[in-house]
Amino acid sequence: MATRPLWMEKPHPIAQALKVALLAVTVVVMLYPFIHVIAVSFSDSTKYTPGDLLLLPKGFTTEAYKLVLNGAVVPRALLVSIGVTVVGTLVNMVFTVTMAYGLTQTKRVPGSRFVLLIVLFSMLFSAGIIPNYLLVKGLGMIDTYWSLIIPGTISAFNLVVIRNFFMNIPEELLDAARIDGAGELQILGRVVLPLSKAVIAVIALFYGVAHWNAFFGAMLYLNDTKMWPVQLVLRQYVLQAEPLPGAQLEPSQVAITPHTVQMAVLVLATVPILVVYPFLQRYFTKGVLTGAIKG
Amino acid sequence: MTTITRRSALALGAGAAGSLALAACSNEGRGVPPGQDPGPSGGNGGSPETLQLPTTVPLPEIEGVSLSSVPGVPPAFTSLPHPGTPSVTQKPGRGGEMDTFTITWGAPPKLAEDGNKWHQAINEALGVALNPVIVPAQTFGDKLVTTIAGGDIPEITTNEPSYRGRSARKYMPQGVFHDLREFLGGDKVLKYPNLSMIPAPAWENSRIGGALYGVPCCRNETVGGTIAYRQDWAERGGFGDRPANLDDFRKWLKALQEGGGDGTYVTATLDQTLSMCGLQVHKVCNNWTVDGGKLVKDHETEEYEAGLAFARQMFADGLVHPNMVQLTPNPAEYRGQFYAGTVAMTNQNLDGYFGPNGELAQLSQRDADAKAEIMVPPGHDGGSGSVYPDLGFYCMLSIPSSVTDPDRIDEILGVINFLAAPMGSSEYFLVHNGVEGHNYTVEDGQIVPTTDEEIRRESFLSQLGAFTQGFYFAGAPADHALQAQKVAEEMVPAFVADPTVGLDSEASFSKGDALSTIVNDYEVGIVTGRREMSELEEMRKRWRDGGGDEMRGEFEEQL
Repeated sequence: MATRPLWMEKPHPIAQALKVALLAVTVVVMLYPFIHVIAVSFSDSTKYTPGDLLLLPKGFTTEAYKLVLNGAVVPRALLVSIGVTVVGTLVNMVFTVTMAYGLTQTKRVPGSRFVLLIVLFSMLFSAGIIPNYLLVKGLGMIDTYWSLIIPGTISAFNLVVIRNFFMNIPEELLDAARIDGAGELQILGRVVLPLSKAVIAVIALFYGVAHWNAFFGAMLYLNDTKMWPVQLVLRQYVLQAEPLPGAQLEPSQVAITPHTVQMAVLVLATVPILVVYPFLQRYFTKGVLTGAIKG
Repeated sequence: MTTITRRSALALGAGAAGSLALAACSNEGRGVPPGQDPGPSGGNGGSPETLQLPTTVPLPEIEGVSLSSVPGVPPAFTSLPHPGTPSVTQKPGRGGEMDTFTITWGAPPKLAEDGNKWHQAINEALGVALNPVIVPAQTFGDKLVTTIAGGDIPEITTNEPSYRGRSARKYMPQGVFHDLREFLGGDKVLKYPNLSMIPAPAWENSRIGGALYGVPCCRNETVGGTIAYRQDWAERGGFGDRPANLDDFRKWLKALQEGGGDGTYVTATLDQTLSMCGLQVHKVCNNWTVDGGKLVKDHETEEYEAGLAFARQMFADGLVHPNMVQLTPNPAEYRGQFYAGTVAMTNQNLDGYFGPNGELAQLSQRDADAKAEIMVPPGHDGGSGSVYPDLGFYCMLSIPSSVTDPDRIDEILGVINFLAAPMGSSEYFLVHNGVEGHNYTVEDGQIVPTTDEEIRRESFLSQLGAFTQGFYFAGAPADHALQAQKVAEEMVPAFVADPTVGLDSEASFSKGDALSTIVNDYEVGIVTGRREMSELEEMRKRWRDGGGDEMRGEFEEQL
């Protein structure tokens, strides 16, 4: 009688319990920081002591959110971040996908291997802050949103991932499309991309999250504070550098923003990008399943 | 913005990558013809050897000022005569715009074009529209360096050569900014009366390689070195008097914890435990000390070893919050522990204890019955422990050397003169408090700032207007200034000078931060008991071999 493989046996109850316990601990460890941040954001700043760990708000109030949302800074910064993330991700995907496709056509595109080497070189060495700044300035992008998008238009890592995925698409499929009279852009749009939804979704998410979380470029290239994205504003609220000893400033700068307001800004800066994940979930699942079937 | 040439910018970029030689070859943008030696100061002429520091004239005496009998203690202002007397006779600006570069610690302020009445009023009073580039504090150094490298340097640029702008300090002697001794040296400063009131220590301590690359935003020298503690706990614990020596201090620390009750601690951070209770009490020198013409680093002294051992014993005795390592870099959290009655001590700069948002006010809001006092730690053998004086300035306002028109330089200095208006002048109220009736009101002779969050966002000058000449706390009871002055009278006699102030060392630029990290790691380890006291010698050796001796040699050459 053929025995079933070990992993198909019904697990022992103790092993099952251990797994559940382990997963439960993992869930708590992952979720608790979110719960704490949300609880603090809804707490009364006069009752909450920084350093306390909360499960529920202390003195429930929405004052922190009212303060943040009634001001002009955070709502505007959220809009800036959404705009930069959407436009930036689109630009990233257009250029990365087209370049990745071009680099798969090693027989048709002369010098594509050399170009790929140059791309890989950029993964090992970066120019540094000052040369990048001089380049952006030379291109006339200081104080424009393009300075947050163009310098990172193509990520070498993402390009290589997409290219490798494209390389696994059978060449015969592309040849068949060519015989049917399709041009290269038609092949990319009608054959390659529909077969690559999983990798496109993952890379778009990588780009999107990177744009959403970016603050350093904005700090360097944007002199107009009205153009600051939410992460730079959030950084100001949460890290809030201490005015150094003895720097007697105006009263508004001496006051430390309450933790509750800091956490409210943190929640507002986190929610939009979290909302994207469920929409991309099915592509992740599909990608995993496709890989499994292909073995 | 004014522009330095591409060549200068590239030279700076290369300098950032470690090539100072290239930068030193570039004379363009320094206000001198290419090929002509600009002199080490990088100024527009005038021998650096003959240039003088500006003269200092005394502050005018005004109603409401309390002068201390202790030399060197700043004046206290219980109130300021409102609306004050003008300190500037005519508008310094001649129309147009003037770019500025400053820092912000909080949310970005709104500006004149967004309806900022404070900004609009400043522009009107100056006769020129300030066009501020406002930089987040956390990334100030990076932004400053890239701005310098980019070449478009604002005409009034905030430099913090000893703090967040350290990374730009080494570029200053390369001719990026004017040596202001040429325009303000000696009695030339009298043309700008408010600048002539900047105290001499601020001018002296702001020199870099002898030159003056900015107008120092003066402040009191009495900044750090005091602790706020729960006097009610000390009384409950049976030691209500101030400790007078090391034995007293030990008993007093235990009394604080006993008075606080179960679950309370005396200190929350490494600074409070080691620097204040350990090093200051054991009278450790200020950074370096000179012994027989040779420099000795603080942690090489016997006093340091005794202070470190004392802090270690405090931790072992359970007097220190067990989360000390996590609390130390988080002021909001360790101060929160003080307000919540978990920890007996906190520390701030002297100004930070007082005023409507000061530590004492915050504690009272949480616990109206709490009683806190401020003191200088006692010396182990009696008297006061060591107190380390501040440089007397925080940042400096620099003028890029690409501004070569003497009239424009005069206009810029006139604007800085306005921003440096002394307490009691009408300009002071505008620079520090804004527009009366909008940003603040006057009640019973006291300034009451607005509580409207949107209006508070109008505060935009930040370091551009950070000139202070004494103690004054807008919106706080009048006696706060006197209390601060009283503490300052304890601090000043206990000042211990740092012999290396104003000296520069290439090794300190390149290796200073890494060496500080090594020392900090050992200190944390030894205080918390994770390392043995005997490892102090290993720390000293690593520090010496890692660049400490190099730093010492470079400083000694300049002594």
